Amino acid sequence: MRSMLRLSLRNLAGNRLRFILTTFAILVGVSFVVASFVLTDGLIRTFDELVEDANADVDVEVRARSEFDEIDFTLRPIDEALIDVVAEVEGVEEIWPTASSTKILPVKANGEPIKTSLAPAFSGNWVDSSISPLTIVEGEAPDEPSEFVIDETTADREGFVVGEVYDVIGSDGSEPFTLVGISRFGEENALGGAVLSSFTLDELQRLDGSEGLITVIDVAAPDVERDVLVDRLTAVLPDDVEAVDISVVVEEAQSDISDIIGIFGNILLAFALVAVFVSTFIISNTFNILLGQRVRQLALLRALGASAAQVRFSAIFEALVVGVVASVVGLGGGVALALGLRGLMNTLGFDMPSMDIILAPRTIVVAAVVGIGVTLFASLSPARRAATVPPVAAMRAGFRFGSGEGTRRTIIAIILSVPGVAAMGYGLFASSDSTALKLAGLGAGAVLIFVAVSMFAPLFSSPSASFLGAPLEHVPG
Amino acid sequence: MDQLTKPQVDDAESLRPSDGTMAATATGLTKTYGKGDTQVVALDHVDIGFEAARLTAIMGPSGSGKSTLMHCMAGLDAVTEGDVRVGDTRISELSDKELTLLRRQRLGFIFQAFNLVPTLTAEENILLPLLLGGREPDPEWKTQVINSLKLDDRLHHRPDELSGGQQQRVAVARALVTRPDIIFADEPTGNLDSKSGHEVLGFLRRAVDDWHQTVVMVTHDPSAASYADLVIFLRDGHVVGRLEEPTSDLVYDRIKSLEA
Repeated sequence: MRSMLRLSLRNLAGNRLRFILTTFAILVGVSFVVASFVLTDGLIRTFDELVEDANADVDVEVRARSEFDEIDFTLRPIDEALIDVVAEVEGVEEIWPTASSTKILPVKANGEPIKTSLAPAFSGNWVDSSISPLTIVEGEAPDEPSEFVIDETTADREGFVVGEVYDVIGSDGSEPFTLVGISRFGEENALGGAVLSSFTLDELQRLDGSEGLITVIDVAAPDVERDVLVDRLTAVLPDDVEAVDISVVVEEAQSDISDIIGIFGNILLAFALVAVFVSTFIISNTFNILLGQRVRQLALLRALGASAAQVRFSAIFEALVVGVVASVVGLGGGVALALGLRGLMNTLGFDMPSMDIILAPRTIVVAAVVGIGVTLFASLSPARRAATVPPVAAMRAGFRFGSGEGTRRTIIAIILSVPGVAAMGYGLFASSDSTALKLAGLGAGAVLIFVAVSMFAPLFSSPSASFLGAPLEHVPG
Repeated sequence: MDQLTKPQVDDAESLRPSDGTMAATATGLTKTYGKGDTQVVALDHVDIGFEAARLTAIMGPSGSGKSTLMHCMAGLDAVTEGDVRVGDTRISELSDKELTLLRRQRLGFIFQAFNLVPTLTAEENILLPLLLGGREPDPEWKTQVINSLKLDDRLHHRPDELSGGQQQRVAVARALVTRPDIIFADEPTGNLDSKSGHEVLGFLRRAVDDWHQTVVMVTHDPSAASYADLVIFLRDGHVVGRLEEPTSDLVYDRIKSLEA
């Protein structure tokens, strides 16, 4: 077998351009898969860290009690009178009452509203609190009714200047406000493209039309155990308001963010699976073309004493090398693609925080399974055909592979494609079930459809192969 | 040209001078293609034997069945009917695996064109049948074959870096290196100019004379056939004549008379 390994490697090395083209077809699919994982893993970790950082100094959050287990994004507001109640609780050192609104939008100097098509514009109340992630980087915080601050990314992009007066649209029409400062969220102001303006609490409530109401109160009590603090707060709060350990709130927020990024990731993954599917088809056809070109060499080997198993093995080994190279290069390509996609999102206006590149073991395994698995799988049928080349073909010009039992193939192909389409449709369009189940459906569907298509392939392989293989015809082989 | 020296052979049995032993025989060998009305009979109950340690040429017009005969005798093609033996082995009864081993271990092949694997060097091509079986070459014998064929400075070249004559010499070396029971050569000079062709035929001739190698060669060229000890003529799937001690002129005359 060692001689066949050497021969396979020589065949690959002897036709570098062909090897590169073949590898490239698989590499594209692998890169897409890797990119979708790297991007979602990186984004999830980044937002996880943002949520953790934003709440790093908070111990307990006071909020409306949800009637459902799952907290949805808009909490019912609570009475602002609770601020004083909470502040009185023994051990509480710092409080950070928050109100937020999506009904408020500053207007640029030229009279145009800020473009918010990519991410929401939201407004909050400014709180001088050590536990808030917001800091003033220029000017000062708003403390008069007609003052506001805006985040630095928006200020830079939209040309807001400290000291100038701007109209702000609220729920009761627009009125002039003075921009007194520029704020920064966390260390990089990575708001994902959102516009954030801050006002005094009273002004925010007035502009939003929700006087007397706030969203949550975050509490820091470094000297008190959290469960003790929760108990003390619960004792003084009304029944429809709860005190929750901040780690629970963080987990809920992270899980919400993961879900959103997960949806985005699944869309990428669906693209990736299409790419994998297409590349599998191309590869299978390419292998068949290459074997067609090498019939005489295969026959020569058979005549000289290579067994059918050796010929089959050499074809599969060649595919294996292609698959391994495609997987390794595809990993790198996927990371590059993820970075490129993030760059593209930044260009489009989603301000992504500087993202960690996370190459999870799962990503590497999937890259290897997709790259090697798909290539090996696509090579099985051509390899089997290669082993059927009769040795006598070495001495006869014009040997052609037969197409096999057409009718049986067609029937099996149809039988396989029906559940394939169903599984894929379930994976793409089912709404309620778990993501893992949908992905499994998508994957299983793709595999079934591929098998079906590749069984159909001989029926229309001549036209499609000559089309897909056209660039390869000119590659010396 | 170098004088070929007699090899040091442990198993001298297969490489002794001709004593009338048959290296391969066929009895009632019939090969048909297709069925019914379109059936073509390529070989029709042929009885034939190839004597050991001799160079036998098979001649005949195209369509006479000469190539088919060689393919069937060499286990490259299945026979329709009849008995084919290489030595004592009935190859018509062998499985594909057994035939593969037979070709690898006991037969050598030289084809008209596309003899070599283009991605392997001359040396790797020469050793390919051994490597396929995981066997190491006998270094002395390998050197002797390579030197005799004047390939020692061409070993690391790829086939496309070799002339047609050099490529065919590599093929001869590959056929010789396993010391097979029989070398089958299919138009070995068909693609060569006459000088290179005679060179290759000279090597085959001396492999028979000096090393007692058995060679069976299909050719349509009377001057190539003149290198043989015996020429067998085929027409329409039948053996139609034999010529011992052939010369180009004798072979040419015989062909003319067969075509008439």
